[in-house]
Amino acid sequence: MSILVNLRSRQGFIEMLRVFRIQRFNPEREPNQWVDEYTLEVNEDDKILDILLKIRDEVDTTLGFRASCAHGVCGSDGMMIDGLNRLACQTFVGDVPGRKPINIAPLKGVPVEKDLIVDMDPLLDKVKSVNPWVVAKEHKAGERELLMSQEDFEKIEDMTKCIWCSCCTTSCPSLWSDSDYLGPQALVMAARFILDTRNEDAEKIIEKVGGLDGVFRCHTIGNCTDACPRDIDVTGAIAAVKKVLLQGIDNEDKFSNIVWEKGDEKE
Amino acid sequence: MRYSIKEGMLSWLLHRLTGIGIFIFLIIHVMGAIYLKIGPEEWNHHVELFNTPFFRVAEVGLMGAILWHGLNGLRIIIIDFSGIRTSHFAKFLFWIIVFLTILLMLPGTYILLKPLFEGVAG
Amino acid sequence: MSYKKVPGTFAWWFQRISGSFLIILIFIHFIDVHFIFGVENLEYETVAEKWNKPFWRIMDALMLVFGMIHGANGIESILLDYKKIRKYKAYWFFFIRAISAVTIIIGSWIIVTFSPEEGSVAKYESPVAEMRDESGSHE
Ligand code: HEM
Ligand code: SF4
Ligand code: SF4
Ligand code: FES
Repeated sequence: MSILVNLRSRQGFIEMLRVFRIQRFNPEREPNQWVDEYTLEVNEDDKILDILLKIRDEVDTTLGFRASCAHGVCGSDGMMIDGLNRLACQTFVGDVPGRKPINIAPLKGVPVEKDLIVDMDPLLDKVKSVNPWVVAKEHKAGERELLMSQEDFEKIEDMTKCIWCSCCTTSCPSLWSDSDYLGPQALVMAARFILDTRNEDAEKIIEKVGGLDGVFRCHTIGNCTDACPRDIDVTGAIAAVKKVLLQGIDNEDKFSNIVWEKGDEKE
Repeated sequence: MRYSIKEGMLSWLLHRLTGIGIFIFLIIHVMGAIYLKIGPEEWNHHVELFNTPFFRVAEVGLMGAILWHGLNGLRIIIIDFSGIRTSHFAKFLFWIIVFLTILLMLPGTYILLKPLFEGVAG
Repeated sequence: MSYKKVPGTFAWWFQRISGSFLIILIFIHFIDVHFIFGVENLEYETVAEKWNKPFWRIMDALMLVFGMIHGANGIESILLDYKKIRKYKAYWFFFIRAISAVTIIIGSWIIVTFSPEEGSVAKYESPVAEMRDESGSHE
């Protein structure tokens, strides 16, 4: 299917015709995925999410995709755009240079439910499996809140920015070949809660990140870091987990031995 | 639709292929050394093989494979242990090892292929 | 507390340690075979001359052992990445380890027991030695 639409033109912007090739899937209609092409008149600074919304509202109402906040906060619209996992709401038409068609496909390595919508459950189950929470055994109700020093927080600040979009996990070749691999998202969460000085159950997490599907399936490829829309140093967080497994932890001065650079501001 | 192959994934694919290749080469190489125990004539006949044009060219490939695997291995080790933020650093190191591989290949290729043109090989 | 017991940690660590050693060993080996001797001069007595010194036997043995274990470890890590192969992990691992073990045993046997045959060195004129006498190297 190929459709040409004229969208309202705005003044002062470069207008151009771009082809959007969107991978479609509807198990009720057809057992296999297929590709639809839409040709639209767009601006360089149109978000991919806007394009998808326009296609759905004005061209093809059957197009399915997830989105909510449209501002890169909720993490629901991760998808593969021009061969890289990114958030549709944070990617502009101009991010795919030239005039070539813009390919849009669902996240890889997980079952597709419809069009660009994938089943997130296996991914979220992986994250949950590493106990991504603080356990404070010594802490009793009514005591003052648990604090951590600014210095300690800076070690995990980068990882707290995660919006659970799973762009990283579904960009990882290790996940493509082994769907049970824990994946970078879970490992970022593991690093975040292992390094959290308030967490007294870090050892539980450490036990869960080892094993055949654990952290050593990571081969320092870095697709995850490239994909992360929050600019988290994903591969670095995984390296920190590996170091914990290798060196063990010193409970007195938790992880003082882990070198950790403070995150840069996003350029 | 395929995922695009960027620096990190390319270096990993090459690392994997070269790793398997070198492993197989090493086994054959050690098995070939059995000629040393069989006798001088047999060994000398065996190493004449390495001097043929085909092996000289193949050895350039082997050198490239080992250089890439070794340098990329060092790159991985540095990324793993340095604790430096990986995104830009890993790509910077990628281009460094591309540069180093080419740089070291030049004199290596010259030395390996020079006899071909001088007629020493063959 | 140490978590070395987590499966895979040792393999991961060993891969990095052996890799670091290998890059030095292979570099020396390469310089040695291609720059100092040259492939055209790898005759029996070149090897005999080289392995006269225990240092070179130790270097070659280290390279063999580290290389084979590193390689086998690497192949195992590749196999573990594929779920379908992992089902038959036991067979694959046995296969890979057997190949490496045989190669290490044969290689070490050659390196340890090699002794130039009586008179064989005299039987062959060593172009290497001649060239070195003349110009210091074959170039
Ligand atoms: C020259 C020095 C070498 C260095 C610095 C080096 C370094 C490394 C490192 C760090 C890894 C781990 C990669 C990972 O965790 O994913 C690795 C994997 C591997 N190495 Fe080496 N290595 C060297 C030589 C060799 C040799 C001689 C062989 C063959 C016998 C070999 C075969 C392999 C294989 C098959 C893998 C697995 C590849 C993979 O997991 O994708 N390496 N190497
Ligand atoms: S760095 Fe590790 S987790 Fe990230 S994409 Fe590569 S293998 Fe996957
Ligand atoms: S680490 Fe980055 S890519 Fe991965 S889930 Fe979190 S925000 Fe998304
Ligand atoms: S819609 Fe919420 S992150 Fe894009």
